[in-house]
Amino acid sequence: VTLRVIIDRRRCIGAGTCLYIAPSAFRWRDGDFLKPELLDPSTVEDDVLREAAAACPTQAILLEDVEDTFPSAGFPL
Amino acid sequence: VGDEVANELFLTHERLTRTQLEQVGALETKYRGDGFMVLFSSARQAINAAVAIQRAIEEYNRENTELPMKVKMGLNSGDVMQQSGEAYGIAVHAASRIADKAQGGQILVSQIVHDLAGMLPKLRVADRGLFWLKGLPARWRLFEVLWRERSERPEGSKGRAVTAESRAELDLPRARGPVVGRTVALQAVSEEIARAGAGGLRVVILEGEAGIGKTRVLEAAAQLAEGSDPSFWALPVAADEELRGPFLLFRTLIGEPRVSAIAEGAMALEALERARDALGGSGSFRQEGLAPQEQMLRLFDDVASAISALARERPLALLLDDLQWADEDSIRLTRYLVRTLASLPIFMLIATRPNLDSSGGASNLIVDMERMHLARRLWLDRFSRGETSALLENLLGSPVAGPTLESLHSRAEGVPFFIEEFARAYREAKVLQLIDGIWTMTRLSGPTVPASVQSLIARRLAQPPEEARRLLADAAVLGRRFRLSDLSGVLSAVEGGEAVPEWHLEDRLQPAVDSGIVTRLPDGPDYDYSFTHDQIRAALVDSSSRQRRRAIHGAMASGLASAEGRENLSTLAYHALHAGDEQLAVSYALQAGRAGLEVHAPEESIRIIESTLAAASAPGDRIAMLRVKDDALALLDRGRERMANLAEMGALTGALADPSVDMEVKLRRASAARMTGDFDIAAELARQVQQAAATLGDPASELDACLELGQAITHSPLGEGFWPLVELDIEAAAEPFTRALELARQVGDRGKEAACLRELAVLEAGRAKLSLMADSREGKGLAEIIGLAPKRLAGAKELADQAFQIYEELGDRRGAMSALISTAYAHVTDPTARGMAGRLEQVRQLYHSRLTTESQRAVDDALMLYSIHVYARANAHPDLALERGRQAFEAARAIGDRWLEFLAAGGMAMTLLSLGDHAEAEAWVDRAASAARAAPRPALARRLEMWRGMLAGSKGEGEGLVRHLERAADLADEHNSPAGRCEALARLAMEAAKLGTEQNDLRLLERADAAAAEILDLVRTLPGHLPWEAMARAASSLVAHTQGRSHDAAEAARSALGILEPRLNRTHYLDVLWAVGRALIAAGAPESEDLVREIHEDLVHVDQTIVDQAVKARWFAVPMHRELAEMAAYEPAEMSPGPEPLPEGLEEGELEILRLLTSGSNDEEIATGLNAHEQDVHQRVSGLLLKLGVSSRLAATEYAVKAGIL
Repeated sequence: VTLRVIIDRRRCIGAGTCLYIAPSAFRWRDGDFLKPELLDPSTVEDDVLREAAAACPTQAILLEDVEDTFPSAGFPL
Repeated sequence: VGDEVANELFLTHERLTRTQLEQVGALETKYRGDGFMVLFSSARQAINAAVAIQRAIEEYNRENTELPMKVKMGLNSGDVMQQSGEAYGIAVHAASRIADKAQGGQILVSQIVHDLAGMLPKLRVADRGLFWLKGLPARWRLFEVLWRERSERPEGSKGRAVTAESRAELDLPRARGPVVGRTVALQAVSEEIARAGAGGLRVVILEGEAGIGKTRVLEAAAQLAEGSDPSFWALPVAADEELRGPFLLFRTLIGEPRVSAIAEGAMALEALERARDALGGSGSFRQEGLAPQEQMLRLFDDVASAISALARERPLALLLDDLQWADEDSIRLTRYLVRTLASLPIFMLIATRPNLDSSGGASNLIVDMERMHLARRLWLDRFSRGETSALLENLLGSPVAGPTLESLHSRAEGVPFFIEEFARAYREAKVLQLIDGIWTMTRLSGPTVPASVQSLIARRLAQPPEEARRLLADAAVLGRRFRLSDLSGVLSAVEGGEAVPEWHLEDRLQPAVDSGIVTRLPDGPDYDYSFTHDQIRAALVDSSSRQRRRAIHGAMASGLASAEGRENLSTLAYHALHAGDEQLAVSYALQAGRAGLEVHAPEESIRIIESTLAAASAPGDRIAMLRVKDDALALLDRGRERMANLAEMGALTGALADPSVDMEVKLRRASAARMTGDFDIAAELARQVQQAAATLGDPASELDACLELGQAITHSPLGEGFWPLVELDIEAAAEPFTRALELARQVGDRGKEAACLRELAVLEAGRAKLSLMADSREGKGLAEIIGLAPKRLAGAKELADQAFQIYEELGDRRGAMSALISTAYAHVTDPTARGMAGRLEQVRQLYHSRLTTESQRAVDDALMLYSIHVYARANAHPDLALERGRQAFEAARAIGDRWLEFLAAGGMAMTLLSLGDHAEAEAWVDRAASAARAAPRPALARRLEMWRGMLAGSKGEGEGLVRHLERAADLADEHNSPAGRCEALARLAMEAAKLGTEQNDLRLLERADAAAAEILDLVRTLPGHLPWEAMARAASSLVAHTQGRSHDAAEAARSALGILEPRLNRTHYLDVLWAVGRALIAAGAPESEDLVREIHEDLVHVDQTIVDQAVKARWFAVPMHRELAEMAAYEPAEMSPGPEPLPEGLEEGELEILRLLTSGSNDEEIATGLNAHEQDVHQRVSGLLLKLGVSSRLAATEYAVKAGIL
């Protein structure tokens, strides 16, 4: 995946559309409030992640290009 | 060892071997300095000699323990051609390949040698299984001659310990099953084979780096050619890196015994004989005293005649591997053949590594063939993650767990040879274990690089000259990617003297580019070169001295330090650390770690901190680093790891004796405790800090403690909760937030002030709702309660609004959004609003009015409309889904977003299918298709196929259903999306089962079962509880139920229910519920009582949320929904008769237009009536006429009256 997926839980109200669209990328998180968390975004195409982000009613799924945000990511340390 | 010692070894080896050979009277044909090629007159003689040599070497080793020698041997038998004392032929080639498979001290023999030798006194032979030998067709069975006496075997080993090691090495066959990931290449090969078969020579050129799997494709091509119609003779041959000689490629090819065997006609045999003689140097033309040039041409002619005679009998597939190593004569002959045999049915596949072609002969040949339009060039890429997974599964026989796959894939970087070798080595080291049917790495670090990979790398590194290699070793220290300017700077800093100009370095690196060690990156601001594989880079780093590496790191660190920029920070930390400057390393690592947090890259922060933490010795530094790590772990939700990290941080605070740090660590521990669900511990810690801070008079710490306490009580992180938990003591929860609000105002922290206000708003709204509920319990009517609500909720709204204002002032969008959503939750709940859906609408309105700027508004609104559509569709609110879906579609068109247009149109189609309206659904799928055509993206093609498949299914077209959904599954494969494949198959299973049941079509039922079986395999490699598995089980259940296997049906239904229940939303998957219900209720299973109740609940929910009575009627009229209602004995509540279902193809809006039309309104009046633009109305009227198949408004009116619409 070239996309980094971030769920902003301060916007997320648990509508669950992301799970509906990409159930292998998201799952319900344990806890008192029904909100999703990331499962394995690499199992789906980037476009499906974009679709899930578009289908979030509070636009709580943020997608970032990894290369853009942190060019040295993956640099062997 | 040094050169001298090596020479010594070689000489000893030579002497020992020669002595033994003389004793048996063998004929030595070639000595290469480190290896012999020897001809024996019998298999027994060969084996005896091999054993004698191994024993002599063993003897030598016993006396020279410091430098033992190990020799590998391979024995084969077959026809051999000799020329000027050297032997050629496929049998010779095979012998050399067999020796390659052996390890030091091992003798491997082919099946034929094994058979010919018969029983051997005092020797045992072990079958080692089947192997691919490079350049040879089919797999070879190899046997090991166990030449050591039992007592001689190394100490401490039992029985076959020596060979046990090699056993494991030999255990994994090179590859099994179908070729992985080369669909495109093999497709091209098939096409070209077909074209060649139809008459006319065709060539496919296969290019790619070492280890990419060219030979594997070559082997597959041989099978394709043999299996095609007409069937080809497949003749594979490989050029050799070490064995070279004039025409070697063709001497091997023509000399192969199989070639004589396939030549049936006398003409072909005769031509073959002539060609063999010509290549062997005894051609008849030799006597005629021709000029060398003439002789050469005659030789070419003879070979061409032989090949054409063969090709006339049956099409011929010539498979030339490793052409980059072919001798020049062979290349010239190939060129000649291509020119003269163009009209014959010959398929030629040439595998080559273009960079290694030193003479350029092979490259020129390829270019010529392309120019003649005979050749097609294919480039083999590295494997994607999905392909790696498939390869491993082929190799190991079972799927591989996700993290294991990730680790193997990233180590091998998708090079198939590396993947296989790593898998082999890890399995051998027992790091890779089969756990519950899935290969799992027991620790993700794994052992060192396998010897086979090392030797491949060593061979590649041996190619460029020494000077380039030294330069590469320096560059390798800089990193996987490097800049020429850095390299130049580092060199002048380390070696002194003038800076080497970049162009000069570029020249010196060219050989390394040629041999595929580094690649030149496209011109750009970033790096100039990249190592092709990190394993190569690691080997190079190891080759330079520690001292030099340190110096280079040091130079790099000081060079980077002068160049500002966040992107350099982690690189800087890395170089500073390895240069031994720990203070600098720590300082940069801290900056890099913080930068990672800022851009939401916590994994990166953790990586940097962990790699440098050991260098931080001062407690202050360590605490600072652990703090960054804790923040990163918090972002990642990793509570347990936070606890461990904080334990170390806590131990360090003692050294600092700073109470504020002490309090900070306690609060961090509280927050970590909340993360793991230990709310009481969190609250206790927060209270301790609150008291301590109050005593110390430290309002900032007290504020933090209050906030922490509040979160511990509400169980909700700041900004994340929108309603209080049912059992929450609201007054107790409000207390710390109220105090925190005072403190925030006192210290002037606006952000925390807003956070407190928002939390208090949530609590206040909860309090108001509790009081309204109490009123309701006391018997107040609904209307009265709705009347009371605004006043009761006013306080909550006011608080949320205040929070919103502050966030807006601070420019904190996330905060503002969170506050705004709280405002939405403080709104009165309209009884007709649909729970969450109503909430979403509320948020949308608020967002629209308050947050977005004018320019962004259209885009945001389109997205929000679409998202509400998706929500409504998923949760069985078809009326809302239709309304918002259409609006989203129109909004997307207005802003020109074809992708969203596509999604909305597809969503409309699926909603309409859920209402049983395929005609209208089809129109929407077509709209989606046209949007997709305007803006093609790979994932759209898959979605579209899914929709088309579902549509075909609901129209009862089994063939279309299967075709489209299979295509969708294949597309997902192409995009390496296992989840996409699973989704497509799940739909296929479900729809085929439904339709198969409906039409009593056995083939569809079988297809459903097959798809279900594949899903069960696939989901094992995917994480989580996936609805697709539930769908697969439901489909199997349905198939079993239809076929009268009620026990199987009930079993499968139970599994389906088991997956659906705990983690998934039932209303998203009503068809699963339906299939499960069929099986369990019919079987009278004990679960059916609960199930009926649940279905009942779901139907009540659907019934209450569909507002539009007409849509509701349509929904309940769909056979599947009707059946669900029957199962639960459910009658939809007071379904008002409402308007009749619309005539086929008409939509709600269009009906309204038709009404207005027939009442005589013009476009303008209709526009007013519909609150729409006149132009839109004009278009929609035209569309309507088209749909009704009438030419005028008058005709439309007549139609409407006749059809009884009005």
